[in-house]
This record gives sequence, structure tokens and C-alpha cells, in this order.
Amino acid sequence: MNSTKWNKYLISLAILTLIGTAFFVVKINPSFAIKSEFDQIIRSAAHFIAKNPEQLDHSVKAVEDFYNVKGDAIAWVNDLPISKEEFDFRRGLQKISGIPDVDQYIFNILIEEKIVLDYAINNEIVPTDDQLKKFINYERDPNQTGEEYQEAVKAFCAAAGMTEDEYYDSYEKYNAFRLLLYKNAYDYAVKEGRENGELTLDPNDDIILRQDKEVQYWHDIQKELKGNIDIKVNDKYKDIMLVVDKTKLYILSAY
Amino acid sequence: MRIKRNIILSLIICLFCIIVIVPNALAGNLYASGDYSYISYNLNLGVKTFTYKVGYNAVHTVSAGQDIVNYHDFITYKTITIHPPDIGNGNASLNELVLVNASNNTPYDYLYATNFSNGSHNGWLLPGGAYIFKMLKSDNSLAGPSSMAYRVKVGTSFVLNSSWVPNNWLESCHTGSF
Repeated sequence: MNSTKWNKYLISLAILTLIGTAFFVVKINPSFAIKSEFDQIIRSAAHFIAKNPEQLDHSVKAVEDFYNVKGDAIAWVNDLPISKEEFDFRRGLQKISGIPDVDQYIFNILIEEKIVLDYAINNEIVPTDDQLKKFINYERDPNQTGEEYQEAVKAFCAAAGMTEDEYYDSYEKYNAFRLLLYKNAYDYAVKEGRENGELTLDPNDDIILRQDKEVQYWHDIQKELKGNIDIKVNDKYKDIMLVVDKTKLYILSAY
Repeated sequence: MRIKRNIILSLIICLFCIIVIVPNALAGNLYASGDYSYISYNLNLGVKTFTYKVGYNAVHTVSAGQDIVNYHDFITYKTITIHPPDIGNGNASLNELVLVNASNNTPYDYLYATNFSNGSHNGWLLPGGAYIFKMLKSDNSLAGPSSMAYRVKVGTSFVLNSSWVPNNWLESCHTGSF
């Protein structure tokens, strides 16, 4: 047998061994596949952020000074602008998931986020700096979030080429603001609903039923706000064909 | 004659007590609990942590040579509510209750979520602000011959929206052996 044939046999054997080992590892230890899936997505997201730092900056600015975005706005929701850079940032990240119609999907999510921001502004429940600081401190504390979370953040920062301080002052600030925004809005809506009698909870009802009623009440408010939205799309970006879908809340599947 | 009848009656009552009360005297409460924490990534919200707790209790009795476990109460909940309830809270559910051999974990009898209904027999004491995923009860029995020691394995799962990676975890906790 000549050496070329031997080489082919050896390469085939090596490939089969690799495939067999990979199958064995994933089959025997599913957590290996889960960890790998997690590592892969945070690496992809971090690389996208590393390549588009200006989009992240604009997005952070959009939650710091929401009426004055940098650059173009693609649309305005009740006078709140959706900046082109924030749209591109969220669209670029979402493309990693490979979902279809990513433009419509992200446009509707951003609209829903701005609707809740508008609701928070009107009711004076926008997350405060102090609330943001507490949330970030909670996340940074290994006793609260655990070592695994801290390691994941370190891995994200390494792949994104940012320090942990930069991560918490930019990307995580952007995420935390919107989470807190939804928490404040939810708590306020439920409290108001109970006080004004629109949300009636029977103390004899099962507690889970009461919880579900609260969540449903909050969803109904969001649907109503989206149904009555005043939106203007920038003529410059009309070719993207952005359409507000008032039939559902995209946030429910996105969050 | 009357005294003899009373003695016999007393003996019957004593025998009845031995048959009925003694096995019940052997009855005991079973407990299991779990406390789990995960991290996951969402393209809209970044890296986040999720925690949930499991509580289980039931009554164990021995009757007619059988170990019987019933009056099951099951709960999954979270105490740290930094997220609003409709965001990333997912759902923590009961997958199965399994009566297993305490020495080698061989399954002996099963109950599934379909054997449970909403509610509880004894109620739960939870910290304020707890968000409950599931609170279930069942009067169905797990049973096995009293010739071996058992424990109850409580299998649960935690599932998030598919927008989170990863989004599905399985866990189990056990009662002590009996």
C-alpha cells in the first residue's frame, strides 16, 4: 500500500474518531452542548459589538437622553425617536439568531419599548440613576449572581475587547435600563389598576390565577397603547418598509 | 357474663387500635427542597441569571405491608424578583415524582404532572414578594412493598422563551429515605 493511500486511511480514521468523540461527549453530557451553545452566542454577540462600538454608544445615549438621539431617527413614537444606530445595533445582534424578517421584528420590539418608555415618562417612573446603580451592583456581586455569571461576563468582555467597567457602563447599562423600565411600568400599572378598580383580584382565587391576571392586565395595557400609537416614519427610511404590527406584542417572545 | 363481654369488647377495641392506629403512628412527613440558579443570554437583554426553588412534602404511611406516599404538595417559586414577571421568568414545572429504591435509585412507582391539580393541602410559608410558578397537590399514591427502603425523587424543569440561550434545564431533588 503506497503512502498516499495510507494518508487517506489515517485522515478518514481521524475524522471518524473526532465525529464519534463529539457525538459521545454531547450524548453522554448534554451540559457540554448547552455550555457550548451559550459560549458561541455570547462570542458572536461580543464580536458584533466589538465591530460596531458606535452603534452601542448611540444605543446607550438613547436610554440616557431619550428625546435627543445622535444622528438620524428612523421613526418617532409619540415624539420619542428610534435612532437609526439603535435600530442597526439591535438588528445586527438579532441577526445572529437567524430569525426571518429581522427588520420588522426589531422595529416592532423597539416601538413597544418606546411605548413603555413613553408610559414611564408620563407617569414619572423612568428608572433613576440610583436604581440603575443598585441593579448593576447586584449583578456585579458574586454573592448575588454567582461565579458562573461573573465568568460569563468576563468571557463576553474578552471577546468584545472591553473592560468589565466598560461593559457595565455601556452594554449592560443599556440592557439594565430597559429591564428596570419594564419592572417599574409593570409594578405601577398593577398598583394603579388595583387602586382604580380596573384590575380586580379576588383574594379567594388561587394565587397563580391572581398572578396571571396581573400579567394579563399589563399586557392588555401595552396592547392598547400600541393600538393607539402615534408613529411617524422618517421619509428617508421608507424604503425599508417598516410596518407597525398592532395585532400582537413582539416583546413577549423576544424577552 | 357481662364482665366477660366487656373484656372481649375491650380486647376488640384494643386490636382495632393496634391495626388502625399503629400504622398511622408510623406515618411521617416527607420533605424535599431544591434551589437552582442558571445563566442565559438573550440578544435583546444580554447575560442574565435566573433562580428558582422547589418545595415538596407528602405523608408516608405503612399499611398492609406497603409503603404508601400520598397527600403530595409541590411548589416552584422564585424569591428574587429583579425582573418583571413577564420578562425572562420562564416557568418551573413538575416533571415527575418517582418512588425509588433508596440504595440504588431503581424507580419503583411514578406520578406525573397530570396526576396533580392546582392548590395545596397544607399551604406554604413563602417569603414576601415570592413569585410562584406552580403550586400543585395530588391525592394519588406512590406505593411499594415494605421490604425495602425508599425515597421520593422530585423531577423538575425550568424553561425560558426560545429567545434565551440556553433555555431548558432539568433538575431533581430527593426526600430522605424511609
